[in-house]
Amino acid sequence: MKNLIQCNQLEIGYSSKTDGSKRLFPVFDLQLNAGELTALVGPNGAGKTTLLRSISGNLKPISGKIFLMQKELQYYQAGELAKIISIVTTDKIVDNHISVFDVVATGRYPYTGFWATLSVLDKEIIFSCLELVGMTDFSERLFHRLSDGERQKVMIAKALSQDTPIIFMDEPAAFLDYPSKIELMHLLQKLVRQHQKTILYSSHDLDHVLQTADRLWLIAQGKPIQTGIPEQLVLDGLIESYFTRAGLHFDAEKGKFSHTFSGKKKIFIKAEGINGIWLRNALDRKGFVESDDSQCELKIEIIDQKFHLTIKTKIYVCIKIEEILIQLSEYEKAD
Amino acid sequence: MVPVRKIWIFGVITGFLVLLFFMNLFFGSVIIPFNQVIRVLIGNINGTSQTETLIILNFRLPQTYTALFAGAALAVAGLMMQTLFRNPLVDPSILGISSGAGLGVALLMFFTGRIGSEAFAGADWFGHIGLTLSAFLGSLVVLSLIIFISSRLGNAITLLIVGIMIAYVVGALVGLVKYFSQKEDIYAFAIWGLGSFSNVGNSQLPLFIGTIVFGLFLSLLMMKSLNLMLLGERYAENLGLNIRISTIYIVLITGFLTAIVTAYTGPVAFLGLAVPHLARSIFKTADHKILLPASMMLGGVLALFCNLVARLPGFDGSLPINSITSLIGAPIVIWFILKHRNFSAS
Repeated sequence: MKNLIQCNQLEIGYSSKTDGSKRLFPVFDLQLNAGELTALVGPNGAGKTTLLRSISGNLKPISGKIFLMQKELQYYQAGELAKIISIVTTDKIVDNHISVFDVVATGRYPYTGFWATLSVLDKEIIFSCLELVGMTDFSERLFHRLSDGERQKVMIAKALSQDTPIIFMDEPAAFLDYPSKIELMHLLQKLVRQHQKTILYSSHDLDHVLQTADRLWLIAQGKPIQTGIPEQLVLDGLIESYFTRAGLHFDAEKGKFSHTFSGKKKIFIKAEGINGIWLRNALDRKGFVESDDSQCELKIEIIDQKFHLTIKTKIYVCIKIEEILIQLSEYEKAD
Repeated sequence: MVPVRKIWIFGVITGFLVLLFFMNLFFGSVIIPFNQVIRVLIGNINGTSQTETLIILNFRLPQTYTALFAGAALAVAGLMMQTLFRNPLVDPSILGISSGAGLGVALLMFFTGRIGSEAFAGADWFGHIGLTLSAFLGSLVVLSLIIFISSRLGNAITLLIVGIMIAYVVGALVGLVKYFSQKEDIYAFAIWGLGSFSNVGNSQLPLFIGTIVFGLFLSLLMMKSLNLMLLGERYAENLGLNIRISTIYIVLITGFLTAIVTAYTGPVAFLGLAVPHLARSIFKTADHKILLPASMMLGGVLALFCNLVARLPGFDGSLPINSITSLIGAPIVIWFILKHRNFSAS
């Protein structure tokens, strides 16, 4: 089974009594491939959460059909669906006394009886899921005392203990610091590659998405949904057209957005290695563009681990990047 | 299954429960020697005066049972409301169900004008039944309204706001009825509003206990739903819970328990708010498999303790239970919250 979810002629959005239904995108077809890490990307407010809720059966589509493993989504019982799709949302758990173990244990509820008694097997599954996300030592801890990153891992363990082929995650990296984001993305890749999960996660963070996702669903309000592998979407210029706003442009070579400064100064740089990388970063940040012209008014060379900055005819020898920036800003003021 | 430490705590609470139960029989505004009380209890009435037998069997015993079951019911109702609305500050009165009982009583005294202050001494059997019945009907009307609304909303926060609004409306209606009532009737209403565990006579006790035990049993059936609701609506729904139906069941059971208790005892504040906090703090868990029985037992313990304080020797008769539960309940909650804060800061 290649596609787990198939959307046909789907229209989604909100219907309200006062001003009729509000459609988010033109009618679309969409499919979620098995065994892939798919990222749903788009600017804030584009409708990522609404799309996720619609295809997880939480929100009724305005029109069209959603097939989950060849059967129409609306014909699934709630208990049946709980064994196929699990979710990780941005919702906060407000209770102060719930333990990590108890949170993960709820993932087993669709499999337990009326009194929610956990069998030995259920407990083994719960601990193995905690182990998979690296939270074994936290099982007795209180959930509300954990950091955002740890909570996110516990919620993923909950989704894993639900033992579903599909996992949906709404902005899983939103509240995480940089290292936790990287850690999370590695975990998602591991779950897809080694544990045969199909994961669909939403994100507004293109940097991470371009580095990790197998496939992108690119959305922007009112525009048709685009799908494809990340690299192809970059080359086709679609990322730029779906994300761009005034004052920003997408640098396809770096895979990053940057400000478009008017009247950029040109500078010739001859520097290699790690010093060269961060020197370029600093200059880029200050709105300078690298020039190929060695006769340029501004020049920087690294000689004997020192920066030799040439402004017109004067040469400054700088040890730190900050000194260069100070000289350059004085030059800009005088100019 | 349940860790040994938790079984120990349950054991200690059971000990307190038994101790307080008997203390409620032994102590009161009339001093009766211990051996006399024991004689009456084991049915050996020889040598005890008729008054003493009457006090123990017809006053202290039903009052003790009433406190025990009312406490358990209010605590469980409070726990379910706090979980449903995911808010630690709500209690069983939040949806206006006890205000509904108040309105029933206010209307009864307005239309019949027959409830004088003597009805509260238990002499007037008809007045008593009328009071209970009108309070129950009043809360039932509000409960039906809430159920009707929650079946259409299916969203806990909206339901909470609507419930609070209904409580205000009902309170305003009570105010109107009071305005047009006679002075003596308003006094009688005020007395009812102070709450009392001594309104349930021996003849009504089986019905009172039976209905509450039934309600408590139903609450145990909601264990799994309540645990799922702790995660919030979207997670709960994804895990297979029908939010709408579960909400209706929980409101129905809570309303039923609150209506019964309020009808018989008048409004009793704070037990429903305080006891779930005690249960969570003592057992250090959010699992309703433990919290539901724990709240029942701790509710009974706290109600018995308050009832004991209300009838301490030296007072003529008993103090209003509604004031005692607040005076004792509020400091307990503050103490536990402060303790919990220190714990989390370290």
